[in-house]
Amino acid sequence: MPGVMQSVRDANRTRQPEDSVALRAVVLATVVMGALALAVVQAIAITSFVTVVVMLCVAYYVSYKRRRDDNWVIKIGLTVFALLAMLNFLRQLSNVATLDEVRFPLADLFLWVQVIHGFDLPARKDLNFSLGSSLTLMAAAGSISQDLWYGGVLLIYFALAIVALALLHRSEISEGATASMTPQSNRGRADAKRALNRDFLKVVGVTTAAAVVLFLVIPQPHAVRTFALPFSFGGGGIGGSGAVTNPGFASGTSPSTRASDAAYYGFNNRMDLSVRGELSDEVVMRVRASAPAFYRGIIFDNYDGRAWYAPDEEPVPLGESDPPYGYPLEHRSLGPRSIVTQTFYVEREQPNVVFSGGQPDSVWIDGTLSVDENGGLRTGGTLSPESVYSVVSSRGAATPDQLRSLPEEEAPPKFDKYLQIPDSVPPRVHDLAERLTRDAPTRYDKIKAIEEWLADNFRYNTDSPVPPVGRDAVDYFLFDSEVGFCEQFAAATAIMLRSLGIPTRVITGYTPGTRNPFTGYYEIKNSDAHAWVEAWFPRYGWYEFDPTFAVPPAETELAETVPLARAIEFLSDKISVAIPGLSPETIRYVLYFAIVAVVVAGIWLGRRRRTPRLAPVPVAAPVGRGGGPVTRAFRRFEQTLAGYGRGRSPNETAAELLRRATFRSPRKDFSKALSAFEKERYGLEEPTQEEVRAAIAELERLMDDAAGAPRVTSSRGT
Amino acid sequence: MDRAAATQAARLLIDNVENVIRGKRRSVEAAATALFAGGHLLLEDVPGVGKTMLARAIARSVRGSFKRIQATPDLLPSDVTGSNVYNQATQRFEFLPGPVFAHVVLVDEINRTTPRTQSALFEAMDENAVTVDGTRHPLPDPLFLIATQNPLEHHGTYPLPEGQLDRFAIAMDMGYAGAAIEHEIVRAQLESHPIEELESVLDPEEVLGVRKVVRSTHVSDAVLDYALKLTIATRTHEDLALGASPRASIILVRCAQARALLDGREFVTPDDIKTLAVPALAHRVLPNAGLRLEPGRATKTVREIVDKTPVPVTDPV
Amino acid sequence: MKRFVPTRRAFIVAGIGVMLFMAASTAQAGWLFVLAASVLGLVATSLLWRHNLGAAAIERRAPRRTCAGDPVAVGLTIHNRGRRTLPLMRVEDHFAAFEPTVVTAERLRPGERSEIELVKTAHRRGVFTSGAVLLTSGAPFGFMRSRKAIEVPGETTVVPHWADLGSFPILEPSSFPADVLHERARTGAGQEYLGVREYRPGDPQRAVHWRSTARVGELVVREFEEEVQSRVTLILAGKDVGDPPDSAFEMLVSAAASIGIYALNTGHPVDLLRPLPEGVAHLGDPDRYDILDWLAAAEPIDSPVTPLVSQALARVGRRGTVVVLIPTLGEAARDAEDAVRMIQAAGSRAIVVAARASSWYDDVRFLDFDEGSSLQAMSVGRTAVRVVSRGEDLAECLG
Repeated sequence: MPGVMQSVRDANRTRQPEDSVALRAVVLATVVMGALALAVVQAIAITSFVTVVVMLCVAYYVSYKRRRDDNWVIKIGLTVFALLAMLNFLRQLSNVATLDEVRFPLADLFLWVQVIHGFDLPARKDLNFSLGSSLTLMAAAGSISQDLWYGGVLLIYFALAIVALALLHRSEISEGATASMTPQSNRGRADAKRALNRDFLKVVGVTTAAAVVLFLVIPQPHAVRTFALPFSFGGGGIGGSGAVTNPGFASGTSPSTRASDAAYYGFNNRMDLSVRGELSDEVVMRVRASAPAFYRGIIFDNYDGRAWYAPDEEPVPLGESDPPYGYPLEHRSLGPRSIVTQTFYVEREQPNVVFSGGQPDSVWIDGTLSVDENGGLRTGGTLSPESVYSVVSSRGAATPDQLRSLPEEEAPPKFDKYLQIPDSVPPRVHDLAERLTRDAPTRYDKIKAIEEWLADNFRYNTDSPVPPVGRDAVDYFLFDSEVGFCEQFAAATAIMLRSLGIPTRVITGYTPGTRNPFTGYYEIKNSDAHAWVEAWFPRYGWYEFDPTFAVPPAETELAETVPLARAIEFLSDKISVAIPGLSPETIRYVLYFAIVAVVVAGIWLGRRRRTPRLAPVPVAAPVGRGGGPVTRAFRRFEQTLAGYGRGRSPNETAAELLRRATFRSPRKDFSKALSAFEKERYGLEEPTQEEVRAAIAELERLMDDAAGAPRVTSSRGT
Repeated sequence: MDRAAATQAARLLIDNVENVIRGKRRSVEAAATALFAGGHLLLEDVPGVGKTMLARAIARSVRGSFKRIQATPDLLPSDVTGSNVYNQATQRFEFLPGPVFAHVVLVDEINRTTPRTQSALFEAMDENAVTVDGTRHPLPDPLFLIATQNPLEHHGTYPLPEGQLDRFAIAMDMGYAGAAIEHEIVRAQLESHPIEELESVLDPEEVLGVRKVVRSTHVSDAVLDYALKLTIATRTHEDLALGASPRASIILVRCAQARALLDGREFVTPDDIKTLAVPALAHRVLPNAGLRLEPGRATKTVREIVDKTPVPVTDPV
Repeated sequence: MKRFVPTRRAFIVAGIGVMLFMAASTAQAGWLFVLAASVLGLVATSLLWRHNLGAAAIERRAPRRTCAGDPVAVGLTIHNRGRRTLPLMRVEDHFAAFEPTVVTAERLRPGERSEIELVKTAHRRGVFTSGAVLLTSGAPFGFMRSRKAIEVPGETTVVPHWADLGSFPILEPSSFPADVLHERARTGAGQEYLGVREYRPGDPQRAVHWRSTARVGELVVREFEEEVQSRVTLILAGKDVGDPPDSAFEMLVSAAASIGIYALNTGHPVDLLRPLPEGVAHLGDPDRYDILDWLAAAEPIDSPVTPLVSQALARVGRRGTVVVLIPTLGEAARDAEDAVRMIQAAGSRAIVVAARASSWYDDVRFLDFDEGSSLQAMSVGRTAVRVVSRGEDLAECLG
């Protein structure tokens, strides 16, 4: 039995324990940063965080102190605790309703595993593993983070990780080393410390620069497949009437301004085209979406010359009682669709509308859902801040050619409301539409023709003239003011298309917003509220068109995914605003060219400096001056010997010195050097050139030999 | 004679002497140094190590006269210097030169004779002449006197007063050459005692010529200063009651010059001075009263002085 | 061989970066893109951070001569001759004279030097010339590794141990009528003419003093105090038994050194002979340093010793000593008897120093040679045989 115990103990003992305290401290700091990141993104509670940190410190201290022991008792204890942590995790899992929320108990579990593992870190490879798992903690926190506070923690973590890696490397390379060679410099320790700090900063700087460059250049593609739905639940939902409840605008009243306290007046049963006002830049929602999309809110079908109306009737509750709620079949479009998943994180109170990118398929929301006649989804009540809901929706994915090739068909009768034109619209609107689309062969082309004509001939201004009482808003916009904003553009397009017999409806909702490249969320501001149209195509259904900005949104495909391209486009837009003469495209090309030029120049310069030139060996200035060449050479010889601790003692003559210096060396001949030196130093005549040269050559040989002669003689008296 | 010839002549003498005296090159060289420096030599050592042989060999190498004086307690001064002797035939007192009238004179066991006789010798060495009954008779030139004495342990001796030793350029012991590890053995080709077959290689005039060349050997200021530093240090050393006299400096430098010549150089190096410091100075200094009885004290002190004195090598010129 | 290769860690970290990237695009979490870029940025930085190990100039200061097993101070100096800072490096010195040194060298700015002096033990006898110093660096994160091997010359001769012998039966010439063998030869080397004595067989003819001979009627020779000292020749041969440094040959080498130095100390000229793969190595009239250096290079070669003996006798002549150092097995041992007879026939003294090979066998049952008769054969005549065994004190065995 003792033998077994002994072999158990031996098996558990570490061969090469890690002794460096600095390394352990830095790794501990990185794990603490990981925990801090989780706390910052609110994945764990503050109390939990403090407990974890305290226990980590204790754990690391214990594993340092006990690094040489076989800790099999501790290891058994750790196994028990690990099992307990697992059980706790499973218990937490049972409370979780969605797959997305598994992240939180998972992060929790992983953190506790870190603490438990922290008790048993004897060797360097264990610390390696700890560093790697701190990265995982950071990643877990990063995936949860919605704001930029995480960035601060990340910066600190980055610096600590660099130090940890450097120390790990140091430990690795010092394995088995018996001593350390430090440079002899008379520049002092403070100077050496400064140099070390400079080097550290250089490393950090270069690494940061490399990371920044990589971040800018590596494209961030949209999720091709969604492995798990990025959604979770939140609060929200009050039972209420089915009509749209807009927190900023009481139903039934006439809004005086377009935006009120971050609420958009267009999210209502009635959208009055005479309302003016600016929208604010407050962030109202954050959306995590697999692809950017226009988030459809309200669907308007009726126009009375001044305003558009959404259905007033009580929306029909969707059948299911539990999420996910499925979208009714009758409102679904067909044909090629692309799936978009999105999760909405509400920041400012939102109306009781479910926004979705395109047409919703299934909705995960805490509360009841109902659908109106047009297919718009309503919740029980306004959505309070901190609410979260998710939608899997689809958008039409047919290409323009596919749309063009569709045969013309009559719309089904239920779509007649989408062809409704009030009497207030004069016939010249229809004539205009006809004229614009005379040369357009297909429905798609007609829509595009109108879009482009509007974009070319009409100006965008939120402060456009209000149509006078009695005038049709669309007619006034088209023929009188010729300036307007999204609602006008959308309304005019819808009416013109309807006049051509194309079922069209006006949509209000949000544009995709701006994607925060760090958090990955699309941030939707109040000013992103927008109005556009949806036109109906046979077989494929409703397709959205944005007449306000006929050209696709400024962001190119590249800019969507590559942050650098995004930055350049942002810059070029700003510059083109500042300097009116230049177009954004030109500036963009200039900027790209400039970047390429800088990179090429950098490579070329770097290549030139690649081969390090050896500094010339500094010649030590001889102490004492004067005398002839042989005397100077001899002086150097003396100094060389002195450097090895065998310099000439004051009572030694040159001959004695040479004899002593050559005693143990293979070359014992110093006659030329001696005779030339003596001649020069004590004699009447100068030695000849030949003699001088030979003497100096001999002295140099002797100096080389001196380098190999012993400094410490052995004890056996050789 | 030019320098090369002088060097050759000197070396010739040394090699010649070495035919008989083997394995004691340092002693032979020192003797030659004294000879060519124009000084005299004092050999101190136990019997049987070759002092006599050395003197005889030097004498035979120079084609001059050689006289040997065996000092005994009853030796009279006139036995050394010579005296006026009444010549019956000429009815006159004739000066009969003593044994000191030779080119090379060997005075064996000089410390066994009376101080009176010793001083007669010293006078002769000082003046290069003897005065007998008022008449001055010059001694031959070159005159090289080799005196030998036994160490003081032996009874019945009149130790040479240290002050008188100043006359000798070089004082040394021959030593058992047990310290030497020379393996070169010249197999005596001679079938008789090698000394009998030793030939002379130099004329007295040549010796004088060499001496002249010696005197013209260049001494740089640095070397001269070094020699002076050594002698002056003997005057201020705490262990010495009496230091070396100014004459000592001259002799030291002169001997160094001779050594330089033997080495084939036309200038003196500090090595020459350093090597000759003890042989040339140790017998000229007097240790303090308390230390006087310690044998070898003077030598030790002079060695100390040499060790402490910096040698001019590459100091800023 | 300067290489700049990624390590396994680099691949792992790059893999982590790619996984983070994939997680980021799946979860559409922007921070994960940042993390992925940072991780990949680390790897990219390492790729850019080339080391310039070639700018390191290395010197090694090791004693020219040291004794096996002695601790000596070996110094290493690194001098940065380049324009960029040398990173943290691992320095391995593979100089065969000592066990490998592994040290780390801290960062060196251009022009700086760092030195270290370590106490090392010379563990193997031999003559060692240059050794390679291997520099490894992976700064800053250990993702890329570069190595450079620099050949640093340096001569070190590790001489064997020797023991101070109190006595050894070297044949001494005698200037006394009685032919008594002294334990210590006179150290006098004077040239004093000692006089004449009667002729003894072996005296050279030229030493005859004919005059005295004519007078006395018998051969009379002149004798000088420093007569031809009795010459000692050491012959070292045979195969090795055991693992150096604790092996039979090493012990014989030490014995040869001890005897040779003792001979020198007592004023005897020495010769040494040993076989080479091709031919014979001979060292004539060395000083003690020469003996040790020569022995430092000795390798065990099993060959018959009689050719060596005949060469030795040519130098030693009569009245010399030939010491044969061999193990008790192998060709050398078999030849020993003939060698001894040869020496004695020439009028010299033979001494055999035999290493008892059986003492280096772990199990004497595996002895495949007859040690007893081997030793017996060596001691033919009145040969002095000294047996050295493993673990015994050399001075006691030989003296």
